[in-house]
Amino acid sequence: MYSIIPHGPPIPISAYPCLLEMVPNCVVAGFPSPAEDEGATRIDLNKELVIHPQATYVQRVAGNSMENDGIYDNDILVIDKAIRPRHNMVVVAVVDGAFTVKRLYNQRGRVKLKAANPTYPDIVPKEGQILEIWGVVTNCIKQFPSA
Amino acid sequence: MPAPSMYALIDGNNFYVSCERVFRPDLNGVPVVVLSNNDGCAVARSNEAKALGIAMGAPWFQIKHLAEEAGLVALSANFGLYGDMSDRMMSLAAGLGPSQEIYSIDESFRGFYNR
Repeated sequence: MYSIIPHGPPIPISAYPCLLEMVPNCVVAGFPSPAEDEGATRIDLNKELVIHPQATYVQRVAGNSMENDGIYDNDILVIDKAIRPRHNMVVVAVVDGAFTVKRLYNQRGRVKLKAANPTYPDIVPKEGQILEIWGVVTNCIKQFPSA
Repeated sequence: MPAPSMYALIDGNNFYVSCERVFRPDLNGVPVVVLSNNDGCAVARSNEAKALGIAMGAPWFQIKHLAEEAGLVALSANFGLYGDMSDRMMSLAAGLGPSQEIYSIDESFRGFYNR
């Protein structure tokens, strides 16, 4: 009929304080507001802009070699190192020990980096030279003066 | 939780130097040391720096001459950077399964279980 609950000296359940989320409304008797369950979460730029948080970094653009793609000097790039670089993606590459942002060309066995500015030549790796793609650009953030 | 059937130790090579090299690709293949607080002594060495005979903890004043003689690059420690890179690494390692023990800034133990 009743279960036998063995009991002995009381022992603490947890030595640490347990944080509970505060319910925003007071508990009243009566009909609850339907809005209660639809608690709005704000738009989070981290969630919108970042796919792989552990592999995502931010760098600032210097120069105008990608202007025709809308990437301007002083823009902020969100770069994901966990995305496989594919033909036509905008990437950050390492050329001669320096970072450069370019569009990746990878067709029919030919690999090169193309600028989005006709005054910049294509970067074509020489025989035996390694072309390292540091990461794939997923977003470009432009900030306007606000003061 | 049963005992793991295998343990793995995940360890970053030359950790502080490797962190710096992510953002300084020009330092790949170059002898590099990271110096402790106050630029006191070498607390991380690249393989090229080890090949120069620089011991762990070597005081900077004793190895300073290698900058001119062997192209040694010495960097002041950037602990904020190393901490963040460590968090990324530990977070990825944690995703491998249920048990992880973080041992230091660049080492963690993982247990793997036979199903």
